Amino acid sequence: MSTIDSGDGPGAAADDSGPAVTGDAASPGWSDRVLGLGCLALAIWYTAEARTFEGTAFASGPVGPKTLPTGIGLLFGALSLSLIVRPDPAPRWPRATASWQIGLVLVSSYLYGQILDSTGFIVASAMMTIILGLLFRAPPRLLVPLSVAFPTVLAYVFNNWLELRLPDGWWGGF
Amino acid sequence: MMLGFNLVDGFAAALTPENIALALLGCLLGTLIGVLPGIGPITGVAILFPITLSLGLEDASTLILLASVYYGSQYGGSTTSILLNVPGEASSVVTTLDGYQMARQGRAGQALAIAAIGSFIAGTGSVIGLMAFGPPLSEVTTQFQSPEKFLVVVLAFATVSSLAGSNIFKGLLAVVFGIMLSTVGIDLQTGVPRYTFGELKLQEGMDFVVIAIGLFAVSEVLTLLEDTVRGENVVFQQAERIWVTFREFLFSLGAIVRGSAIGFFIGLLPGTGASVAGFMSYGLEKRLSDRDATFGSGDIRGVAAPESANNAAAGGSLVPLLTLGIPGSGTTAVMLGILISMGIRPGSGNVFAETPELIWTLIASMYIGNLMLLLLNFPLVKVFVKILEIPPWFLMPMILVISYIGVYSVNNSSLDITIMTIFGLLGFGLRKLGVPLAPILMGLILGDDLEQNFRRSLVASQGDYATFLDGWLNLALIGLSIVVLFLPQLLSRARGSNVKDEFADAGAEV
Repeated sequence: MSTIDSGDGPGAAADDSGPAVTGDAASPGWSDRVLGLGCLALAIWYTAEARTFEGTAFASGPVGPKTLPTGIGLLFGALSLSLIVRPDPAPRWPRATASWQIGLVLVSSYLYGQILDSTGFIVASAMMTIILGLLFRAPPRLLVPLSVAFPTVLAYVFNNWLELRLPDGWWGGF
Repeated sequence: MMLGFNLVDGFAAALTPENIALALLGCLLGTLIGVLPGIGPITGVAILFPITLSLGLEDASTLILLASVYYGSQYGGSTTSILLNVPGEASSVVTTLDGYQMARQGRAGQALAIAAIGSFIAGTGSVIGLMAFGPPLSEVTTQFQSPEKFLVVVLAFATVSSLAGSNIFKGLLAVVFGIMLSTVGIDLQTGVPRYTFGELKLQEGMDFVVIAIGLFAVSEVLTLLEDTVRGENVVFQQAERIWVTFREFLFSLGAIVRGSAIGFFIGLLPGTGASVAGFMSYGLEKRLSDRDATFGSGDIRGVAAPESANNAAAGGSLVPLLTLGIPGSGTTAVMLGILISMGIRPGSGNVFAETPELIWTLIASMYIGNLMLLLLNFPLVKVFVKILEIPPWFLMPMILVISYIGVYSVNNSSLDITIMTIFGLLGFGLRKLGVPLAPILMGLILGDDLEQNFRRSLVASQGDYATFLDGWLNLALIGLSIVVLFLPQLLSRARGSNVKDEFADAGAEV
């Protein structure tokens, strides 16, 4: 649940009668135009790239590996133009505090993938749990034991009961 | 007349002790997922699918578990509609109108009970309907050649784009983006690598589980984080026990029966999923029986009608899903991805004839799940309500860590975690911009089918594109695609209401 962007500000949260996409009078359609431009750039690159795919004439028949991507790329370009021409009102974007917190989650999530094999599942997950827990305003006294216990239990269950081995890391595992 | 494997055998297969235990587990997990803030049915099924594979179950048992999760999460969604005024899925948006009012008047128990009973009756009806409509419609697919198969995929894309809400171009943009993702990897016919950036691990292509978890789970965590920073939270109503008097049941029975019938037939139409069914049945019931103008201020029939209808529609939408491979919602799109990854490809063959044991077991298990939910929810409602009080600081890290396990288990690759993270950010942004996420998943899941059938058609016709316009079946499919694309827009315009806005409200999980 909770895919619903509910209302504006505290107090209005339980009222979902307003549209999820809130208009911003200062920049009508600005967001959609940026999205449209981004998609257009992607479409151009994608289509240009498609033209370089050469299958052997013997294996590909009348349509090769480039035909469908070319058509799809052109269609994507046309659709992104429609966003530029007819944009919706801009949504409410996160303010500064939320932006850096979201950025922090994304960077940690990327690093999680990078360190997972060397530190192992338990250490990486404990670190991620602490970071995310603090961002969600966890009481630290409860968070630290939880962040160790939870990944340890998961690792034990997956490694021993289920047919899935999580990375042990340098210190070994169960 | 039905020969071979049928529903009775399906029940026999579903009723082994192991499968009953799995159905029970699935219903409990599903209800939990539906009730928990931060994970919807799509996220739940997407995270659980790779983990389910690690259980080493048979295909039928995997399907039973995931189908029960699907059913349970729908029911859990109704619970939060009633208690929290927060619908779990678009299909239960309309339940909030009378359901939340009832809860505020201290009648949450009756609202929850009638939702459970209505869903059960509707589920029963739709299984019967599925038996009647499924096999004959599935027969039609045996006549399909490559051009027809190509056009059926186009119809599926039109369907899912039209579900998307206010801006149809954004739905189409999302589908096409999904198709673009599906072209990443080695081209199967020629061995040419496409869009792999020379990265060996990209040659196998994008895995839909990784993309689904990124788009839905990670972006939901980010959205909730933003809400937390803003200091937004919701107030919920308590339900001590759920119960309903026999008189109230009789009073609602008409609404349940009408809701079930409308729901099932709307579910049959590709492109009009459970959400439309809920709105239509509520509208009809209001017109038929709202003599004292009690709808909207806590009328029990205002809960019974849409809850029956969306459940019946979920059953009805299994007909286009299992016969043509056209999903009616984001969650059924994920289910289709799971079926395809098991080698079951509805629309490309007659699945009722080719893999009857799986299909009938699936149908039987949905029915069993229905019954189980009815039995579970009466005694356990207090427990489920307690779940609503779990704080996000506890929940969000758990969801993310379990997502990592799901993603990692696909290929044991850290590149997948990077891809998941990127799609998490993408999902967060697109959700804000009103670009629906489910169509991206559909494009990715069906893109390969689209291309293979496109190429096979043109090989057979020696490059003549007119092959797609050849014959009444092809023309009918093209016509249907166009109708489906614009039907929800026309319906809402005809009703002169803000159905579309409500869809947009119900957000990305449509």
